[in-house]
Amino acid sequence: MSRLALALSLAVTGAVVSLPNVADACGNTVRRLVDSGQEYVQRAELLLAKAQYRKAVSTIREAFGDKAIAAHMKGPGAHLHGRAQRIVALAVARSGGAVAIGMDLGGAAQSRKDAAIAWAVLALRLQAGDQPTPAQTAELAEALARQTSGRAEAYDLLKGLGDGDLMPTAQGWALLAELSKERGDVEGSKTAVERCVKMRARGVKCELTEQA
Amino acid sequence: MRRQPELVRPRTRRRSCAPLLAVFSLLSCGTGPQDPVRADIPPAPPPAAPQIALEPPADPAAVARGQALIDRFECVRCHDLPGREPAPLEKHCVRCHQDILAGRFPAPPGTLREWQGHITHLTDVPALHGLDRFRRAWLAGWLHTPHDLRPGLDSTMPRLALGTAEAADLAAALIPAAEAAAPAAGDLARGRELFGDKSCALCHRFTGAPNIAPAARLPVPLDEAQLQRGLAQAPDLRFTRERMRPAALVAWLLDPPRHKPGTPMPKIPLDEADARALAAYVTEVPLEPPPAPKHVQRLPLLERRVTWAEVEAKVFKRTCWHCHSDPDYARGDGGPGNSGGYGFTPRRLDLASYTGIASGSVGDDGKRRSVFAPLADGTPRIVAHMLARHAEVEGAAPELRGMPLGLTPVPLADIQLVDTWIAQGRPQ
Ligand code: HEC
Ligand code: HEC
Ligand code: HEC
Ligand code: HEC
Repeated sequence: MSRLALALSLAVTGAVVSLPNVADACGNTVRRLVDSGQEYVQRAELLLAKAQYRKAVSTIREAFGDKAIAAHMKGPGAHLHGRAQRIVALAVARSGGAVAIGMDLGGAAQSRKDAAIAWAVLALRLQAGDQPTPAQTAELAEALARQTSGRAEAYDLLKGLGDGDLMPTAQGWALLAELSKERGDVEGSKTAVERCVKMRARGVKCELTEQA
Repeated sequence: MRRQPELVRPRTRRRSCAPLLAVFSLLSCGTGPQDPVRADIPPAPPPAAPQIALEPPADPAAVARGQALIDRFECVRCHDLPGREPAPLEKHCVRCHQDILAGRFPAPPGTLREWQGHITHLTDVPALHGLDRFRRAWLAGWLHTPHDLRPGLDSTMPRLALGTAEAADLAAALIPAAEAAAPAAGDLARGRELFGDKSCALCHRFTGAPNIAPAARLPVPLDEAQLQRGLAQAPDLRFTRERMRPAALVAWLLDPPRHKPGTPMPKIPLDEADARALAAYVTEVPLEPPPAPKHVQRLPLLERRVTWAEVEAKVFKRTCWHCHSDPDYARGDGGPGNSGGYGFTPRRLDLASYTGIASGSVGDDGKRRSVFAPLADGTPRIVAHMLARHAEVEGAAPELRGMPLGLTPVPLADIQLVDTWIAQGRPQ
């Protein structure tokens, strides 16, 4: 846990990530083109989407090193750093902490897994802030669900999104189905599976496997 | 983009009645042609333009409030305004597009070419100089419920979140000066002739008026660029009779650049009487009523499957995401439909990704709400916003603000795609 403590202390100091700061565009196109840091992050996002967690993390580490783990405060580069950190945190959550992300977080040992997941929950919670988007909420729930102590909160978060018709992904519905079932809410679980199936997202398993 | 119901203005010509007052002191002068007129009284001089009370100088308090509103609504993100700095390039919705189209924007040639092929909206807007040629009352009404004025522009003035009082304050700030007295009326028949001879219809549409073809030769030499700008910016003259102060109209026709430096309307040689004649034609020629607004029809759902890829390419990644994207990904501010802008509160609506659209927007109560939620008539909210844009173009002011804001409506067949996709459970 000492490394986690280090990560947390960095969260307070706020390491500054400096990146080229070029003209904004109407929305999107211009910045994406002129900013090379973007390329790494974009590539890593694609790898994350393809469930290639180890590669996603190493791509981020190539550009950011341990800075991807430290929390970032404000200033130029904050957006990109936030995206990089999100990738690492989700790679941790989705791999169950098996991917080593640096600073002794993540890997084969259970203690490293636990530490990495604790870090991921914290990082996603900090990013979500007090006005999280549904996407941020669902991702935080994903990480929380990896902690025994976090599953009740994960359920509450996802249930809130589902009730407001604000579930951002099919994964969100699948996880809500699982968590609902665990609590004995058979109806809720069934609805969540149906919504998940309707989204027809590639690579997402909606049906719950064991039918105990 | 079209249409707006005619404003009703009193059109009765009043006789000059001062000489009569002594004789018929109890008779009103304003009751029209039936007024008893003594045969031995010489005919009144030709009537001046319709007598509407001249607008006085604007209330200074309203001007001050209006100036603050110009900041709040970020008018400088699209318009040049006297005495104000233009918005910085990365916030300026028109200048950046113009730089790209002119090849001035620092980007690789291949990319520039690709962008140039995509940009049609917000490529030109009128500068807000010399606005005291307009009626303040007209401007207030129009800012509140804008309609298209320039058939050559793809974009219209966006319907901003302003009430009638704010619109009036803005109009006061933009037109602080009093109106000058109207000149004597011109010769309408002569004006009709001049309208053809001087090739006015080369640039201008005049919907509802008889068709008068422009003469083969331009009255003044214009290069291609001047002509293109003229075509883009020339207003439909149908609205001029409501818009312009009569004295300013004559002054404008005599020398537009003197009234508004840099205007794309060239100075066309005319003498004073010609200008008054043209003004009479533009303001007095009877107009056909505008076509009745069409009812906007939501098309029935499609039978076939519709994918996210299809609606993304046809609708959301075409126009919407330029104003609605996630600032973290856009690295700009995410656009006025996400982070706020033009005086709108941030709605945090991201239409650049599946997750974004599924994440909804922030309502007036500060809470997230789904953009798919059906309204009372069953139409999903996001579909209703796109239909509302069609209604706006038809001249209505629906409660929901039309989307895309101030731009060409999404074709009904593409709205149908979005509608179907939602009904099918929004497959990813
Ligand atoms: C998103 C860009 C945009 C913003 C922001 C904007 N406008 Fe406009 N405005 C336009 C466009 C486009 C037109 C041309 C419309 C037409 O001719 O039909 C226009 C036309 C006008 C005109 C008519 C001028 C003329 O010569 O006909 C006035 C006046 C005006 N805008 C005032 C304002 C004010 C005041 C604000 C701020 C409160 C503002 N605009 C903000 C895009 C914008
Ligand atoms: C820094 C430059 C820049 C600024 C500022 C900018 N744009 Fe753009 N805009 C672009 C580029 C580049 C494209 C073409 C993108 C492409 O082809 O992928 C574009 C395309 C668009 C399009 C789609 C093409 C079309 O004409 O329909 C819309 C709509 C648009 N912009 C709206 C806006 C609005 C509204 C603003 C102000 C809030 C704005 N833009 C500000 C650079 C800019
Ligand atoms: C080269 C194109 C061109 C020609 C030819 C032209 N105009 Fe214009 N006219 C414009 C443009 C552009 C504007 C708008 C200027 C601006 O807003 O800066 C304009 C504005 C006007 C206006 C103000 C209308 C309003 O509602 O604001 C009137 C009236 C007008 N023109 C009348 C005429 C008449 C009459 C003729 C023929 C004698 C004529 N124009 C010839 C381009 C042209
Ligand atoms: C020129 C910028 C612009 C474009 C382009 C644009 N929007 Fe918007 N949009 C806005 C703004 C600004 C608001 C906030 C309006 C308000 O608060 O009333 C908004 C609000 C909305 C809302 C309502 C959100 C809410 O909760 O009230 C929806 C839905 C929406 N837009 C959909 C779209 C769609 C769909 C498109 C493309 C077809 C689109 N928009 C294109 C600027 C834009």
